[in-house]
Amino acid sequence: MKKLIFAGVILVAGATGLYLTAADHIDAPAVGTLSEGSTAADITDYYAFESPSNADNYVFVVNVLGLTAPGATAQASFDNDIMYEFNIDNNADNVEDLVIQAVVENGVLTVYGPTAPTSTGLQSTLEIGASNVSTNVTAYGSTPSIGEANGMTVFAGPRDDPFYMDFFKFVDIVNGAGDALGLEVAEPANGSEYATSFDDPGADTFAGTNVLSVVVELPKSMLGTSTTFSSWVESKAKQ
Amino acid sequence: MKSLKYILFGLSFAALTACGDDDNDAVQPEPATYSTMDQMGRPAINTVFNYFGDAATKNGYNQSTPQGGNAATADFEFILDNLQAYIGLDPDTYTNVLGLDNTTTASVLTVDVLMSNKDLATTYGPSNLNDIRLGENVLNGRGLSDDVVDVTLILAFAGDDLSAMNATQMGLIADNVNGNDKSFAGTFPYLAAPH
Repeated sequence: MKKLIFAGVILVAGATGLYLTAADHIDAPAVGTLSEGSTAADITDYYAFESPSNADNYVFVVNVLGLTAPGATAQASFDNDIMYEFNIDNNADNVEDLVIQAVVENGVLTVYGPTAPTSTGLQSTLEIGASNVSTNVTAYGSTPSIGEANGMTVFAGPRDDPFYMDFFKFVDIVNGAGDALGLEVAEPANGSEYATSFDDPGADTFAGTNVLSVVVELPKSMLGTSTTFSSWVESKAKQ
Repeated sequence: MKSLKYILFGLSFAALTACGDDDNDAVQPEPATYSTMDQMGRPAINTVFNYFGDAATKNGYNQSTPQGGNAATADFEFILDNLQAYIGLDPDTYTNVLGLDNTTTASVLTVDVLMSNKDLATTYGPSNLNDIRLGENVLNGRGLSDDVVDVTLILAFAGDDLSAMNATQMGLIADNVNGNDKSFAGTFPYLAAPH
């Protein structure tokens, strides 16, 4: 399955010079390309949702290293120099009021926060004075190692990629629009004309592939007093 | 175990200063600083709206913040307009199921954040198209099983009246992949074990 996916991906990329950009898989040439591969800084997806097991809690998930084949998953690893920062804005100015910072160093996940950040925006300081919780990164094939302290429950390790999409059909359809605009795009997938509708059923491009996940659950009360908030995630490299 | 190196650094520093300066106050090691490599709020935004962008465009988007918008509204509107024109819709009069025209939709999407309402159940897409409350039962967080691709396609192509869609629109509002290939767990960490 992996070979099939990558053969298809390379076909698309080779023909167009475009990068695979599904959901946000390998959409960041600085941190992951088809030729160089994805990295632990390459965010594939971000989720933020009410806990399925406790309506008083909220859950944040960041996935990286998209399209990891099962045979490559045991070797997939986090990076000592990459931090994942969940940003929470309580007053709708799109500036983070609280951050939750996750770092993985030598196989140990430590999550700090939530705490008001020392600095906002593209540069961050690791908030080592904030309350925190640690646990070992879960090895491929092992029962999840879960850390619980200071209100937070945390996990880091390989998981099935929860994202699903018929990415190649999407690409063919949008390439048709690009071709109509006179842009450099791949030839039609079927060799003659671009698709103008999805197949039914579609084919899930991400079936059978894995990611590395960081999952954080904590009480909603730790996310500020506002009923509504906005959030986003960043991967950040140590300077 | 966390910050082992800080602890070690702190210990060695304490040992040094203990020998030389009894008046020394507790000295904290300088915390590490980090710089953004990638960012994400809503799903598929960079995918769709920077589809035709070059590496510099994608990197620029990924190394932006939502303050003031992660991208120019006009750039996202350009993509929406042209995708709709390609399938025979009139982008100048198009409004989506949320009642938003392309300019407004683009202005919302260029601020790449997930909106959440803590008092209401999470859902990215509307379960009832006749009862749409933005930020409440539409675009309220993102759950693992939410079909974000279909939601995005509906916003882009369905118009504001699903009963009035033509055949082309109907072929484009769902990718017909309706769920993940593995079931999610009801207990932490929720995501399925790897393949």
